[in-house]
Amino acid sequence: MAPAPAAADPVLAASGVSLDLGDTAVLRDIDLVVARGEVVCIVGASGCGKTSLLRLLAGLLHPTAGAISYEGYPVRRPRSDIAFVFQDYGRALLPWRNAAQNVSLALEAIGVPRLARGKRIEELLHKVGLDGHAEKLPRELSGGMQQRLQIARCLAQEPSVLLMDEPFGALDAMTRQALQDETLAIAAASRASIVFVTHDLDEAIYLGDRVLGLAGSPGRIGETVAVRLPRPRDQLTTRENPEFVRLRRALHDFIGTVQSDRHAR
Amino acid sequence: MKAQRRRLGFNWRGLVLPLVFLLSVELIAMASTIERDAFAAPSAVLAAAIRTLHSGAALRATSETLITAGSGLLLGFVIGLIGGIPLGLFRRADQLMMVPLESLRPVPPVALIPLSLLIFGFGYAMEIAVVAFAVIGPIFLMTRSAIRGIEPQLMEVSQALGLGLIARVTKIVLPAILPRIFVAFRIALGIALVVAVTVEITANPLGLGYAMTIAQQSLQPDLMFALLLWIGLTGWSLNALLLRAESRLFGAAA
Repeated sequence: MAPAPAAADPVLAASGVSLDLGDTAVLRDIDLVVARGEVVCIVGASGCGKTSLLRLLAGLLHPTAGAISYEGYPVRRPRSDIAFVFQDYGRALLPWRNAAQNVSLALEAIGVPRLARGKRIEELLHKVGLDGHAEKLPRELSGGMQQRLQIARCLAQEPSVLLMDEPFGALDAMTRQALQDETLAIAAASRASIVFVTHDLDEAIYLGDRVLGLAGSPGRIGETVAVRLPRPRDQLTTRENPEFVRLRRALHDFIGTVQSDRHAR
Repeated sequence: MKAQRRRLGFNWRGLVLPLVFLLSVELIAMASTIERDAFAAPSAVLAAAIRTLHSGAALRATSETLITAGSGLLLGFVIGLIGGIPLGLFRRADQLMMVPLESLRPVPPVALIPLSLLIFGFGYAMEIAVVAFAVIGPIFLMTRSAIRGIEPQLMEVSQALGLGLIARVTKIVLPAILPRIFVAFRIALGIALVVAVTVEITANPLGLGYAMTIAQQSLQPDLMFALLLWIGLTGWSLNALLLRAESRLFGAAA
């Protein structure tokens, strides 16, 4: 048994994190360490605090107790090495800026001089397969292309961690699989870590090195599953692997018990 | 097809009633021989309009009114916009300013004419001050609500990207509210013209309002009506100009 990769080279960590929003307890005692290059997927029923956890990791929310740290330093506000891919791409892009200008926004934010931006934008759009669409406004792009554009904007920050909040939930199956593979390729090439929130168990297993099951209200980490499927992964063979099927079974049972518990209460 | 053509072309039917009205007024004026101070035949009004436009008097008065209304509008617009942005962005600033703003709002701008006269005396400055005061309030409120109406996700994006306050305002907030601010500007233009002419009628010896008062006091109802029509035409054209610019710039977004 290989040791959990978390011990290897920690990048982002939550220790003893709890979150209350108003009178509602959202998360309790979350401990999580993300290693460099690791893909951690978080699954759980809706309303269990998956998105809140991601926002905490991004510095968009502040924990009521505990701390978030990036390379040992506390995360108090968003930082450029941690990029956030929002679920609703349609509302995360500036509708008055074309594709190139939307990517440029991230470069402007980190202070890249105007002259250096053009080439970077071209490379980023190429990386997500949007060459030739630089002049188009977001509304002229399909859903999948809009999400690609948002990913390009996040990559412009050259992040060490990509936080992705159900990024492909609204896309059709084909586009979703293509983007899953592209995301894995991009992560592998840049050695970036990914924390990926989804409610799709197959997606979580396919992408992840580890899958965390969040359960309860307030949410806690109820289950941690190491995914030892070979990489690079393949949409057909990986999903047919007996280990894949076994993991899906285990996670499915976990989510199932959580939900029946909830109904019993 | 037919309906479409009617929408594109000018609807002449709308002119029927006004023409009938003008014609009957003209006939009544011809039939009655009594001189009245509040009445003039349309032909006399037209003649007076041509006379005053030709002499340059009306144009001079128009430029005076437009300069004061325009300066007051710009002054009030800039102050209202700059003041309204923090109110829309920060809940605390909003709570802090709530009472002072809400207590100033019911003050009719024209009630400030005496005060403005005391401070500035007759002339452009006093009128500009009153117009600016009248414009600030609505622009304040419209800026605030436009900012509140920005897609919350966009504010979060700017946070996640680490944009500073100034970059957030110039790159996200201002472009996002631009269409609504343009509408606010057009509404404020109407207010500015009304207030400017009111100030001229009641106090300030300048512009179209004053010219109308003089016409009324020197018993020239034809000139008075001519100026009245001219004021209406000026306001209408400015509004039409802005409407056109609006639909060209923002299309359906506005």
